[in-house]
Amino acid sequence: MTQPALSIKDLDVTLGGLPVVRGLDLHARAGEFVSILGPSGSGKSTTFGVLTGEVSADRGDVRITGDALHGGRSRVAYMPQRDALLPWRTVLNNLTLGLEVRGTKRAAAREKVRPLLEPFGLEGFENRYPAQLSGGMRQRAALLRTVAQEQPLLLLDEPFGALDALTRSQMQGWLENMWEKYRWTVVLITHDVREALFLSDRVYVFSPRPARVAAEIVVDFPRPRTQALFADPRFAALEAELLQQLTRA
Amino acid sequence: MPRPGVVLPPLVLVALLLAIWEIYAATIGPGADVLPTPSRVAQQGWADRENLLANTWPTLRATVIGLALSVAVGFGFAVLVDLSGLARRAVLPVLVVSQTLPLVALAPLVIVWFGFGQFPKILLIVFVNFFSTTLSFVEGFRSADPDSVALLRSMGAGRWRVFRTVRLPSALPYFMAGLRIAITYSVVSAIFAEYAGAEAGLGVYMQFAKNTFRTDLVLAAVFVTASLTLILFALSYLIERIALPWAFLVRAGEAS
Ligand SMILES: Nc1ncnc2c1ncn2[C@@H]1O[C@H](COP(=O)(O)OP(=O)(O)OP(=O)(O)O)[C@@H](O)[C@H]1O
Ligand SMILES: [Mg+2]
Repeated sequence: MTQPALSIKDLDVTLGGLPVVRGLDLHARAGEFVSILGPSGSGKSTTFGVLTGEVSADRGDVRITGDALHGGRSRVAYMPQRDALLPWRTVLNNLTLGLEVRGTKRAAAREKVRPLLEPFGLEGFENRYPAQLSGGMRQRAALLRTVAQEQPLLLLDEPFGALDALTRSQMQGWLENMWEKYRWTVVLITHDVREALFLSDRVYVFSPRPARVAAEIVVDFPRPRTQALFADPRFAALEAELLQQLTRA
Repeated sequence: MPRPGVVLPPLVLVALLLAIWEIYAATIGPGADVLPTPSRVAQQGWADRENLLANTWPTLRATVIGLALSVAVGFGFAVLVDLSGLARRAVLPVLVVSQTLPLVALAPLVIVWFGFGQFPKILLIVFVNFFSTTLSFVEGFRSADPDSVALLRSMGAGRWRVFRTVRLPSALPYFMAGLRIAITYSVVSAIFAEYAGAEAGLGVYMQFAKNTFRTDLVLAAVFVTASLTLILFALSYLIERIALPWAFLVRAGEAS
């Protein structure tokens, strides 16, 4: 068996004396779409913080494609809870940001990003500023900025949390499509049970703080998935089960 | 460009006030030696334009150099305060105390120490301004979005990279606001320093005109001073428009 893209074993994190994560075990296989559901303030973003290097763990074994986190370059591409597009950079320059910080020259970074503009629905907007984009476009731009970094692991922290219901469901459908095409390894944090089920191969449910895995559910609906899935009775059954796990957790 | 709805009302008001002044001074006023009409001020100011202009340049030069130095010093302090907690605790109280020193007493002393040239003027301008420019940069650095900083760090960015890619650009709109405050104070400070003693400048001109009972020329110099401030002010907007086009979009987005 090949190395999992991400493996977290027995992770403990304490922030300001507060136990935030205790004994967390979690993994994601290469090309797998994994979601994390959990109560607010349970330690989901903190877990991402460990992976991005923002937060240091008390103990635990964290590996990305088999190698320990410590030292060396960042091997995750992270999308924060808000899109965090830099308002003074044009869309194109926001998209190349990750590549630039990681050492690619701007011209080369642009060449890499350009072919992605069309599938991400941003063609013709590359010279605009983020303030000139709609909410959905901003989110797609933030996602493009994330995948353009070509890292083995994508970390998406509530990417659609701020969108209105209609735009959100469009974005979910679009992301499902894109994932089918590119098969990134994704870990997605969300509060939306249906979003988690619609997009994921597997869903983790976190306990309230301190976070550990309270439940793990395999979602094996065939792909490509469409809106029709929402009408599937098995979908409703899983949704009910997840909701129950969440409230019990 | 500013809309007519913004520019027109103050212009009309100024025109109205000038008209009232003109009529009052020409009819029941105390006489041209005490209160000249605006038209006389304009006329006499124009007649003495060479002299007036010759005294405008030193003031303008001191103001611009003083402004540039205020910004540079403010930037330096702000970076220091931003990077080091120790510097913040050491520097900020001293800056606050510096602002409590009375300028009226300080200005003549600075002239005694450094003479009648441009240097004491510039020094005074920097002294008046560096506090507010420092604070505007400090506030600007602090306004940086923590999510953007976290994003940069997740890409492996170091401290310097985060600073120049996120913190510095975040500070620029705050810096422009600080600059505009500094502009108004700079021109006034320059003239104040010249009043305390200088070889040339609008302050010197005003003092000379006053001593020879030329109230019309004093007022002409006041008019030039106000125009100077307004021009620098307008220039700051132009620079912002060109250098920070995104700032207007963000503001417009927040307004709507
Ligand atoms: N620097 C810190 N010092 C102390 N406590 C912190 C710190 N950062 C976060 N916390 C606490 O850790 C807990 C977990 O925070 P975290 O952001 O990981 O939650 P989350 O699961 O992402 O929540 P949400 O769903 O609301 O985004 C919270 O209760 C928070 O108050
Ligand atoms: Mg969170």
